[in-house]
Amino acid sequence: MTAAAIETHDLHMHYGAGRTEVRALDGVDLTVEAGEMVAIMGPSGSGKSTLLHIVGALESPTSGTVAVGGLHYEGLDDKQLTELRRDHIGFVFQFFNLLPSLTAEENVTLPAVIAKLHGRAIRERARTLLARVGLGDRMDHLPAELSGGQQQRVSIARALLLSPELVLADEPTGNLDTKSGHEVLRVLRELNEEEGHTIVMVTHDAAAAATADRVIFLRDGKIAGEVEGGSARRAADYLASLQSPDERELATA
Amino acid sequence: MLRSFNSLAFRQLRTRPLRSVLTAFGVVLGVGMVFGVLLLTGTIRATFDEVIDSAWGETDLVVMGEGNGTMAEGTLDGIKDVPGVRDAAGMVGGMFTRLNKDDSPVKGPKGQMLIAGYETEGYQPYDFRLVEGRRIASGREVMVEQNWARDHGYHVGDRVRVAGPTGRTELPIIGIFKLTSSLNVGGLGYAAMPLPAARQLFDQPKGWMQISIVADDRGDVGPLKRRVAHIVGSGARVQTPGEVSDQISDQLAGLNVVLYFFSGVALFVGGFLILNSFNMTVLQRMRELGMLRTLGASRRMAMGSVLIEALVLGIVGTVLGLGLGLLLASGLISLMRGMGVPVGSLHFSIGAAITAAFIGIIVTLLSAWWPARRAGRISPIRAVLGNAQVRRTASKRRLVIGLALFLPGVWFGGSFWFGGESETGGLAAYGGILMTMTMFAGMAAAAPFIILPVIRWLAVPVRRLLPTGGRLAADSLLSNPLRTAATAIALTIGLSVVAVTITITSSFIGTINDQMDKAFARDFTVQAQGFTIEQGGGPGVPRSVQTAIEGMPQTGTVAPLRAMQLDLPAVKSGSKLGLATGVDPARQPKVDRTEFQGVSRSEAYAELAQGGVLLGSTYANRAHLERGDKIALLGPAGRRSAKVIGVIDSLGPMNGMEMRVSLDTMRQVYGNSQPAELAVEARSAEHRPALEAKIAHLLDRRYPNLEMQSAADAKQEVSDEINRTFNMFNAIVIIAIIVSLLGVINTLAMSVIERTREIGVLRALGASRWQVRATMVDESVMITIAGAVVGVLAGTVIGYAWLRGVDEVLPGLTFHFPGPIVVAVAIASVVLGVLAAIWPARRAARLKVIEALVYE
Repeated sequence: MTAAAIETHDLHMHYGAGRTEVRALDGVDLTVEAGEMVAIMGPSGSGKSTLLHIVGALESPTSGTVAVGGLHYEGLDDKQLTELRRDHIGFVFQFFNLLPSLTAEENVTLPAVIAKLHGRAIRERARTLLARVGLGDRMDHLPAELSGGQQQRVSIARALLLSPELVLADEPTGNLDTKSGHEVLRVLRELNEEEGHTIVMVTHDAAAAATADRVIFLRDGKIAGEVEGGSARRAADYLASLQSPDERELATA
Repeated sequence: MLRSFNSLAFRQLRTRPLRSVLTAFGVVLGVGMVFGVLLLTGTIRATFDEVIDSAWGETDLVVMGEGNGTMAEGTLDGIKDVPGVRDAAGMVGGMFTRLNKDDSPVKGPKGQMLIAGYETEGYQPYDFRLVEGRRIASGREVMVEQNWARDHGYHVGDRVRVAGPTGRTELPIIGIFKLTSSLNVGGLGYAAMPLPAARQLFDQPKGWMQISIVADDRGDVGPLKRRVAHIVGSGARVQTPGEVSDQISDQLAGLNVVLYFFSGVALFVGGFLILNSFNMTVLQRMRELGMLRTLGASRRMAMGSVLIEALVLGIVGTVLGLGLGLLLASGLISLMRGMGVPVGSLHFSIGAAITAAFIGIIVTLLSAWWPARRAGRISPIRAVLGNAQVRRTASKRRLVIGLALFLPGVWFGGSFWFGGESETGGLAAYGGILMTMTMFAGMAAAAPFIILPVIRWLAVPVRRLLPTGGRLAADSLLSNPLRTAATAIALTIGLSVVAVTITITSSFIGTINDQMDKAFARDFTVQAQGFTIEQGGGPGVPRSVQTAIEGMPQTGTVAPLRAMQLDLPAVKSGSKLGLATGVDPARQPKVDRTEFQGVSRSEAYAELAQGGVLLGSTYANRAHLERGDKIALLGPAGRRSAKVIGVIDSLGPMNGMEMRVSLDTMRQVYGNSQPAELAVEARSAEHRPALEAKIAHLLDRRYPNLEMQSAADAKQEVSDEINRTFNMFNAIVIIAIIVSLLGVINTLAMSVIERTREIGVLRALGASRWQVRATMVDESVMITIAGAVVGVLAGTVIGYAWLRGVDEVLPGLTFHFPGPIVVAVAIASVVLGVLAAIWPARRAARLKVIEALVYE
């Protein structure tokens, strides 16, 4: 794919109708280049998670266009979208979403099993990825035997198994303590820098956002600006400027 | 290592063993019932085949008088002269009662002994295999059947004391023969005796009951059968032994249908458990399934994984169910034997096992299909949303579908079950089963709309009486209507089956009691012990008894009644089997106040004396006959044309399939000579006790095989007979209840599992273990009350509708609601349902809070 990794144009997502209509996205134009690591922040209800879900083909927008690697989503049927998710996109969820009955290694190889890919190469890749995220000695453990941070790292390895061009992370550190969160962010950053994966991360945590190349802000379903990555302070200040006085007070309480 | 996506299903089953077991349980029950019933019906069939083969192994044709009447003496010689007949032999038969050491009669079927008398030289009509002693030769000696001899401790050389048509006697046992490997007809005995002695003992100097024929050309008996039938005329029936066997099993067709119905109910509840369980599973695993979709699993793969789980559970459940079925079959066989249905030892059939297994797996897959489809439709966004915002209320469309499935069964079910009988073979009955199952499916679909209002209504007092636990319970039930309804419906269906059955039984009994009061204007009935009118009265009451009673000073009237089962003439639809009764037109009106439609009693009896015939209401319907029509009566002794006088205005024996003629007409056409019963009326109420004592003394001394019944006793006997028939229903109804209760336990247990996180939140908020337990029990109380109330109401409505639907077929049947019994059953179910909640409730309370909170 030589086109931009992600391109959206005038994206709208509305829920409900009439008096109870909610405009989760209200005309979003977004471009993410290949190899970038981007964080998306915003107050509650800003539409950041919705944007990620649409880019990840988990939901279809009410209107507007989405293209990943130059491939437009409009007109793709369920089967094609399924293949898109399988071959080009890796997900990291807030709640890890590991299968409790499978070991760490089996969880990582799950995308290959679904794609009917077998063989030693797949197993080797899984082991390499697990070692990469620091869990080389935990391959045979069940999720119940791993800490939250460890589980999240397994899910990162799973997301990367089939070498997707795009990795989407929805609040990857939302369920983790500070130390685990730092570990996870370090892994993501390394994967981006050393292997060139495009990573888009939704987060409410300024420190997490700071690990990205740039931070894009949403408010009320629209893009409300962006800052350069690298500084948690910068991200936090910008976020505060977008929040109402009550929201700010709650956030700092 | 995970080999393929499909093997994920196996992993999932292993991770949730308890849920898997509870789900498979449904299959076990359903398959167990189906297999058990198939084995039972197969065993009954095999028993008959074995008996027929044993007794008539070498016989090609069997000739029997119509309605078990006697064939004329010359029939045997006539048959022997038919070209193609190699040899023929006749038999006379008599029923005897065994006597205890003190000469009192042994009561019940185990005291009965059927003796066949035949020539001992030349061709024998039966192929009894001698196992001990010698064959009968001459004089009053008997060979007895092996199993019976063993069960009652008789050996060669013993003497068995019996009472029969000519009084008491002792019969020496000179041989023991084998009829089948294991037949046990409730203890009924079989014996053989030389013909001359038999004729004397049975008081049957002439005529034949049965004639056995062996053909020259054993390969093709068709033409011979026609020639013999031509010779014996229409007063007798010519059949192959195989056809006799078929005829008997046709009569059991009704039993089969009922058995299949109840196994169908068990299967339905089993399937419902699976549907419920998988629905809950899919709901609970929405996040996981959504995640799999994000990883690239297609809709078909998601659906397939649920179906594979179902298939595995289906196979395991089926195997266990087959084992259960074997146990059930043994139990049912004992039950049947106790009811006098002849059935040998368990006959295992691979075909039955395959059928039951096939049905079990198909039902499992069908039941899991809907949840699997839901799984396939899970959107990948569920990986994020989990099962939040999933619709928990039922759509109105579901109500419409439910009613559309329910109503036809209510409307037409009655005519299928009671009208069809064995007329179009099993077809009408299987249609009835299908319609009934659809009716239940409709109930299940419409359940949320019926159960929830009841729960809402119950919630008012519950909230007031139990402010904390009760409120939590009520809120929990009302906030999840689909789950609540799914839990209650298993009990609802079971109870509605019970309510329908009890309603119909009590309506039959109630109607018959009402009509019996009219019919039994007599004081006493004298009849052969252990026989009812429907059985033709068995050996009957000798003339000498009638004479003796007529001679007693206290006697007012003695009215003899003769009865025989036969195919009634001119029947246009439905089964022809009915009862021909013969009465004395002068005496009968004194002991029977039954009215007739279209004619007064005095006129009716006058025309009866002139050779007319009165019809039972069912018979009149089926033969499209009314007053003034003519029917042709054909019997072993003659034929005549008779005018229809009118219709008997009561249900009567054989469900209204009755033809009543005068004693003279009966004798002229059917040749029957012994009355089946004597109806006796005392001169006045003051004379009654003395008359009773005198008759009792007479019977005791000289006719121990006869019994005397008061009118009250007679009514009791009829209702006992009905009860015995419906007892079989009741026994299986109990099984249906057990299955439903197990369904309730199952669903309650699963709903606890499903709500683990919810319970964790309650505990985290400060609810004690006791409060959690109490809340679960409160919920169970409300669910079982709601389920029971709806079940009883639905069952009563269905029972009422079915009885009304049957009105044209069985007129006179009135609705009697068995209030106390049904209420008792409902209360018992609620109590049991509450007990059922105890285990899941304890489980819920024992969960560790933190584990519960993160449970998924």
